[in-house]
Amino acid sequence: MSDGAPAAPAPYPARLSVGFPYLPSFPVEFYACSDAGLDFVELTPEVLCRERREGTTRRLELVEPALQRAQRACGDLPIVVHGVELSIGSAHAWNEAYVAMLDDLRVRWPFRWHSEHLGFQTVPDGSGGSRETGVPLPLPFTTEAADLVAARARLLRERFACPFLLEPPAHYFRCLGNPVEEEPWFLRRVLETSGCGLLLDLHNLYCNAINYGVDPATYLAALPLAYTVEIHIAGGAWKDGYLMDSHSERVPPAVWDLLHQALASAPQVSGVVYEILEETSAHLTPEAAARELEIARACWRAAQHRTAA
Amino acid sequence: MGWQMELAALVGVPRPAVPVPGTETTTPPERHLLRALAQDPGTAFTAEVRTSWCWLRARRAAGLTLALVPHEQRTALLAEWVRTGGGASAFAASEAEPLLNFLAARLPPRSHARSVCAFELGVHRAHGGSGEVFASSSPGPFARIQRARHATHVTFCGDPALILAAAAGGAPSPPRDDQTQDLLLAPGIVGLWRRCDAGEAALWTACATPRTLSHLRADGHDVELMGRLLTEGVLAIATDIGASARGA
Repeated sequence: MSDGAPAAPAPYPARLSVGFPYLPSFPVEFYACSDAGLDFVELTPEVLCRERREGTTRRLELVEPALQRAQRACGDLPIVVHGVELSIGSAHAWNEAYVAMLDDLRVRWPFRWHSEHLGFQTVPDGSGGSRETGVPLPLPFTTEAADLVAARARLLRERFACPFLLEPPAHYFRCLGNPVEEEPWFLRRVLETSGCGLLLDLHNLYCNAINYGVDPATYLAALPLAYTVEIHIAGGAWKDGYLMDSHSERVPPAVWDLLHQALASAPQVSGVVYEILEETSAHLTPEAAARELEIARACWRAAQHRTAA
Repeated sequence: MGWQMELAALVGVPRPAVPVPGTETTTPPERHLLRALAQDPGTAFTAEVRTSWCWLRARRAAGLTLALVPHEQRTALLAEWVRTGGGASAFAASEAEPLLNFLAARLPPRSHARSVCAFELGVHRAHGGSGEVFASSSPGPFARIQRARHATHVTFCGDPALILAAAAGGAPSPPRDDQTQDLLLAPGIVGLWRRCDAGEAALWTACATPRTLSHLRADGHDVELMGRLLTEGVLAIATDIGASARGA
């Protein structure tokens, strides 16, 4: 267990370029066809799992037909994992079932790196187990929260012997503090202590900036970008005066601008993923997704040329 | 831990019935932040986001059933379900069984919605038995036979195909018919379900509690039929008193 001393950061993984999530509802041809501009696939392993509960014990089992379909669809494309069920910030316990499932997945389908969300989504249920909150919730920017996450993140990095990344969330709570002032030191403490990397979701950042009322470019510049391994881009929807991180739309121009800025400031980035959520983006066709990937690839190439120059 | 419990409660997560040790106290800075969060408009918005996600998960877990429930009743049922903590699990299977049981207790008996609810529940149960090894088709005369735990028998007041098609949104819901038709669902059935004939329905009824094969044969039940239902996972050899499946 970490004593709080800075951990040696994991080496940056080899560049993969532009990726897209594995969505069971998308045709398998989208992934195998090179015209989609896909260099890698981001897999949320929970879509391949069934949960079993026996009393307070949870197990996540890979469902064989779902796993095989995903593997057929992705073919030889490299995969990275982006989980949603770990709840790394839950004070009472994280989701051991998720970690055990990842052990199985690693053997069946090796991944280049894996990532999870920097927050919590379970609380104690009163009978020794966990209850899902139903919505991801952020952590307060405190030393205690940073050190809890860092210790667990370090364990994961060592367990899987590949980079582990954390994604700061979007949220709607003003009183957690000015993100430009509060979040950078918090992230730096987590990442320096754990040796883990950053999954920078630019649409999350954009939502937080808009909803809090700060300049997105200033917010981006304040973050510890040297730790960035992966970038997410996405589009969201407005509701009741809030910009939501619904990951349901095409990427807005402001987020493309942030991508240019981020790639210029973090030339070590290994991949960019256009992230959409299957539940909220039924109206987005594979053709629309392919167009976004084309733009992402153009940004990526421009950044690589700048770096080479 | 206390801070997280309180934030969860602020966005609509039901509190445990019994206080959780270690969560009853919060520090002064935590209480200060929680008071601010209670007044923060973002908290109410997050609660709304949570509710909309819970509704979406519930609709996904019991889509066919809810499609046959009138709009007002559907809204009331979903609101009650989410208010009591439902809809929070990301896994459809974990959400489905408790939700479908919740709905079954509140839907009119002999209604199409009630039958489709039992059907959806049966499908989830059958999925839960995937990978099971089923009994031999030739058990000994003293083998005790009962309903298999992942099997279900469902009665429809009309043609199941038409009723399920209506639930799936492809056709108008047919009127209720006094002439019922039954389905069997089990992990060993190809496609998980099929129509059930009168002999199978009688055997299903007879095996509500474990019976020896010889008793069942003496009561006129077909031994070959028993064998077939064993290999499909509809029936099982009783090894544990009290382990039995359910019917609708």
